[in-house]
Amino acid sequence: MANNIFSHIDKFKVGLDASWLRNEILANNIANVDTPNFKRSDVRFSKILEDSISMKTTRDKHINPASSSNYSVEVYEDSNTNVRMDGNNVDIEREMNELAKNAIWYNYLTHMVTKEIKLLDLAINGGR
Amino acid sequence: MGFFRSMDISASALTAERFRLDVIAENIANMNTTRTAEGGPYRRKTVSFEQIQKPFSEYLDTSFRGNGVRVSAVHEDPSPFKLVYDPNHPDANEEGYVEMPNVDIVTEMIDMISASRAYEANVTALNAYKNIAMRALEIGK
Repeated sequence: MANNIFSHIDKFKVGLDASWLRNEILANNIANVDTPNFKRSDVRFSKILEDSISMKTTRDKHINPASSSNYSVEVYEDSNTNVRMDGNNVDIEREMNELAKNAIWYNYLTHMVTKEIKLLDLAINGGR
Repeated sequence: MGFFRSMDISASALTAERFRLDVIAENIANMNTTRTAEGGPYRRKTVSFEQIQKPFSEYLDTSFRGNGVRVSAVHEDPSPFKLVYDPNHPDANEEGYVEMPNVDIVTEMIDMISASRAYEANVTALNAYKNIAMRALEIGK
């Protein structure tokens, strides 16, 4: 049982922040599609969301990772993909695909937050 | 991460790609120019890009990965000029050959397509940002 009525929204906030950051990182990858020796970066953000949801707090004094502010969004440089002749490894098709996926994912999360707020509203007003 | 940083990143790329298109247009426009202010025929120009480096104010931000792209330099192509036999040309030498610019129209066309596709990709990125920013404003509505 959640001891904080906003605990679900806090979890979505982690995802929203990661998704927002990922949009920036992907925009930067696309901007540098012709920059020699540029290496693409990405955010490990599905992992963060899974971790924050799968971790359980069994006692009151345990820190809830989703509600604590010290979570880390991990940005990493991708060096496992093919590198072109100019030392750049940005694949524009892949970046556009990830950008579209990320926008849908962000829309989904905002939708879920809105739903959560509507549910709280329903509970507060007693269905009226 | 700032609210408008994605937009600034995409805008920097739009500026850079447009500049590249300008230089390509200049190359195509001057593909038959045999007289320049520096003397001799026109020399083909190329553009190189570089990442905008991390500003000091963002130094402790480990999630910071860049502020977009900018033009680092405009280079002149050092390849030799094309010699065309045209004895009636006013710039022809004693043997009747004219030095023509080292602009290859096919190369320029391909570079132009590449630059305009990159421009379009950045416009798409800008629109994706606009969509998610509007959704962020609609949370709770």
